[in-house]
Amino acid sequence: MDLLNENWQKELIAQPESGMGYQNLAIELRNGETRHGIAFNAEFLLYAGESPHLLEKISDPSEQWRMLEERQLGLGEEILSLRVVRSESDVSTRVRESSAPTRSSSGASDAPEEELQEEEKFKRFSAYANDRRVTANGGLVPGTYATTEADAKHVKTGRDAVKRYALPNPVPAVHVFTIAPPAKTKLKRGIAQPAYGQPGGGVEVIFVNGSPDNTVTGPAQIPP
Amino acid sequence: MTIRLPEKWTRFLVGQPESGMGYQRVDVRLANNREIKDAMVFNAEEIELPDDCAHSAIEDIQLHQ
Repeated sequence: MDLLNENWQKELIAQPESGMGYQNLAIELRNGETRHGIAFNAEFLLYAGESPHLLEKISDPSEQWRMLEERQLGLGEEILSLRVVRSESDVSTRVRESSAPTRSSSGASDAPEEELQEEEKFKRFSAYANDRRVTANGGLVPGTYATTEADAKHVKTGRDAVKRYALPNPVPAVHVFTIAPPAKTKLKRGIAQPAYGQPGGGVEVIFVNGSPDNTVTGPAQIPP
Repeated sequence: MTIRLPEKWTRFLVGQPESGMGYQRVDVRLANNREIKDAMVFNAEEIELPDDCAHSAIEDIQLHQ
């Protein structure tokens, strides 16, 4: 376990969280080895395989000194780089089970493909008025995400959208596009998983092959 | 830091699927051969890279697997 100095803390704070208060990391060491671990509050680095109970011990200052003297606790001298990784599979089971949230539903990317049976409206929340996924002819390019009109009713502000769809861009998604694709449009539907320090939980839909011309209108604006 | 991508890469990314609403996760190779894994691109035009990459040209971008 390492106590991270201010420089490493700054570097981690500039990177997204993997969940509320923690970051899953790939740690490159000076000896060429790459290890995995979790940083808590950008301050304490627990390497894969280490006991999460060390976190409890370190909260006691006198225990912290003792751990430093006994070299149970390092100061990150061997670290060459820290990089947040998205996949929890890189982190040891013991660390993951003790600190990361469990998942009981799956995102749209893991869902089976389906065809839209009848006309239905969808919404896309974006931080950008000039959303690049919306074509000049009012369509969507393949592989674009949106949500159902019903789910969008839960979103009153751009920050609501960031939370509900676990968006990594903290800029409020205040631009709202409406999509009215024809029947037979290919979709994948799922639930936005907790990520980037956001709870998720909203419905997410992938337009597998996009949406044809003249099916997208907007954007309308909502408050930040 | 956030860097605006050259139009060439924006056009490339618009042709690729999203990773979530409004963003794509990518692997980047810089001109100095440094590789950045799992960087975030917003709206196919703004990429988040470490501060010390500001002056390196982008050689290649692929969607992060």
